[in-house]
Amino acid sequence: MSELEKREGPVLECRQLSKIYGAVRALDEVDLTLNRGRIIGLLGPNGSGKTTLIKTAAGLLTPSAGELFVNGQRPGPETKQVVSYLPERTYLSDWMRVEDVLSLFSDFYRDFDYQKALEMLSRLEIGRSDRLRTMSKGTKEKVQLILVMSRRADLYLLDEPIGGVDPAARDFILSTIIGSYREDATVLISTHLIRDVEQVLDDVVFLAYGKVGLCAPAEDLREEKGKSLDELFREMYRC
Amino acid sequence: MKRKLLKYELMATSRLYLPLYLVMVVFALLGRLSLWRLPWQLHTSKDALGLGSISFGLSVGEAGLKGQILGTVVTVIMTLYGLVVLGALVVHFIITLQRFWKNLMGDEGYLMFTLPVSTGDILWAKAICAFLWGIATTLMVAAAILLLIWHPLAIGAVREELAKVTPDTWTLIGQMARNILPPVLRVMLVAELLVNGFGDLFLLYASMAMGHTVKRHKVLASLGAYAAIVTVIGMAASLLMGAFLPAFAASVPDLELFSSTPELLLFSRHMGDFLTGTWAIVLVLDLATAAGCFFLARYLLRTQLNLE
Amino acid sequence: MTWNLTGDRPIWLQLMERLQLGIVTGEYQAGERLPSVRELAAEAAVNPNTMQKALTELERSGLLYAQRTAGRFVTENRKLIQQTREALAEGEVLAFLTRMEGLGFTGEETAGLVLRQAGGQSGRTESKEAMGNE
Repeated sequence: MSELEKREGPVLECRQLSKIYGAVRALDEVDLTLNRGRIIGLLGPNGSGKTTLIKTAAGLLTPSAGELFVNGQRPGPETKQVVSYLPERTYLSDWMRVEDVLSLFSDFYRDFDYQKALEMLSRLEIGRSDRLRTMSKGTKEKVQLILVMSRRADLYLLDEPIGGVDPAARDFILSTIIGSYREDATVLISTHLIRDVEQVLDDVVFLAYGKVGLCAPAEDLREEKGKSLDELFREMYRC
Repeated sequence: MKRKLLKYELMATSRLYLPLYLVMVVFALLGRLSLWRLPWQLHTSKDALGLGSISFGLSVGEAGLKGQILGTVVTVIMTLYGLVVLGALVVHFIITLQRFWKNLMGDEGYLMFTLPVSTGDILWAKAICAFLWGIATTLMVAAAILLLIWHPLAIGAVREELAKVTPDTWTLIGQMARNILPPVLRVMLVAELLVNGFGDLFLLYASMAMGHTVKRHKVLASLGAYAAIVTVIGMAASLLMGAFLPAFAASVPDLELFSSTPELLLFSRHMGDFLTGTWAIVLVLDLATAAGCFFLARYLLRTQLNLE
Repeated sequence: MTWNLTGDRPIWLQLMERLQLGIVTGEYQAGERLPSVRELAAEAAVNPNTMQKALTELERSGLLYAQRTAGRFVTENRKLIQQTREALAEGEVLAFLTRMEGLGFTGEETAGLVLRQAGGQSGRTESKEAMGNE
């Protein structure tokens, strides 16, 4: 696939996308188009389908009905090459050293910037030979974020990157995301902590009960309604 | 990509297997030392050879307390040796299960299944790696046993026994072996080693993938899935064997006396045919099992997997 | 520089105001090169696109100018900076007057109050002004 082809059309497209677990409709006929060069908030309460949508786009879940395309392709090895995914879980093996993880990423992902990752890690005073076993959960999460943001991907999928972290860690996470942002890439951040990400977002997608309630540029919403996204969200999904 | 996956799988597993092999070597050496080098051993005659007589004759060498202590030490060492050598195969089995369960269906699965590789490649990398370690572990077990019993006394005894066999008998044995194992069967035996080796692994993988689709009691469900798959295969096997075996068996002449060489050779030829026929069925069955389990595991991981 | 952004008004507008303030108070000197969009965005913890929009608006107003490769600079037109400063002050005064009206003070009464209060602080105010004009 040539570079030009790659950059045409929406980066993510869902058509009538549904994911059903038994009686639960985690995603209910979602139609959604995400364009390139945006930082997008996927906002919704817990259990609204955010993680399901992200996992489907990452190729970890198969749709029950409908379709999802990344760069116009169904999820598979090719789309995984252009999608950089940060799950909620820490997925690195404990026995590995930082350099093992770095070489794993540069072995598998063509777009991994080894030097950039190394620099960002050294800013946190994490060395190449540090073992993951000796790191706290918070540090491991930061290492994962650095790995994910050191790829030059078309689509970044960040699942609850600021859930349950202290303010300093939150600032680190947000500045890492902003600092790594590129004009031709799209970052999708899922969170239920809307207030914390408000300032960073270009667009917002409100998700509740597996349906898209609203999808609009953040500044337009603030201008039209004179309210913060957080307030707006509380109004829409008052319970 | 398959090669890279294999590289990381080998990296991840070698840190488990290499220490295991080291422990095996240490205990094999200890075992050998206590068996052949301790004072009591000086009294062991050729007639007392064989593990049974050795382990029961520990107090033979030195009388009194010293002999008893020495005997106890040797017993402990030999017991540990036995546990380590046999345990190695159990450990290999557990590592194989754990590498699949933890690395693919646990949190690490979030990384594995978002690498730009196909699910089939992941399965193959896991299976090839486990297969290689299986061979290596088997060789290590064999080596540990050889290390224990390889001794001039033992070799001498075996050599003496072999010397009693006349050259004519050797020729006959050779001919019979060639008849019983015709070239086709030899090829099929090697193929069976591969097919069965990988088939067993894919069977385990498919069972675990199936068990993982259940919401709770995933381990129990995996055991259930394993039992179910094995039952299905067993039924297929007995059906196939029931259909072909009587015909094969009938083709072997009912010889009552194996007194003459020609009769023995004739029998061995028929035996070779019989084995070739049944082995072909076994091979086909195992090939079908391996393929079936591979595709089942791949399908389940691709479409049904839901990491927690 | 602290940014203190709120969520109920467009972020780019708040960024623009904050940068404007930085320019008229001399935090960013006339002719000085501004940090890159990315750096500013990271500093304010906002989306680079939003920061870009604020900067573009300031370029349109003439307070900033871009040079294709060298980056973005504060205008050297001190008169414009001074005008902006005065416009900002006027806005503040108008807003203040409106609030005082709400408390029931007429413009003249308010002016009297202000003069009385400002008497004791005049020294400080002057020195601050001098700095701003540098």
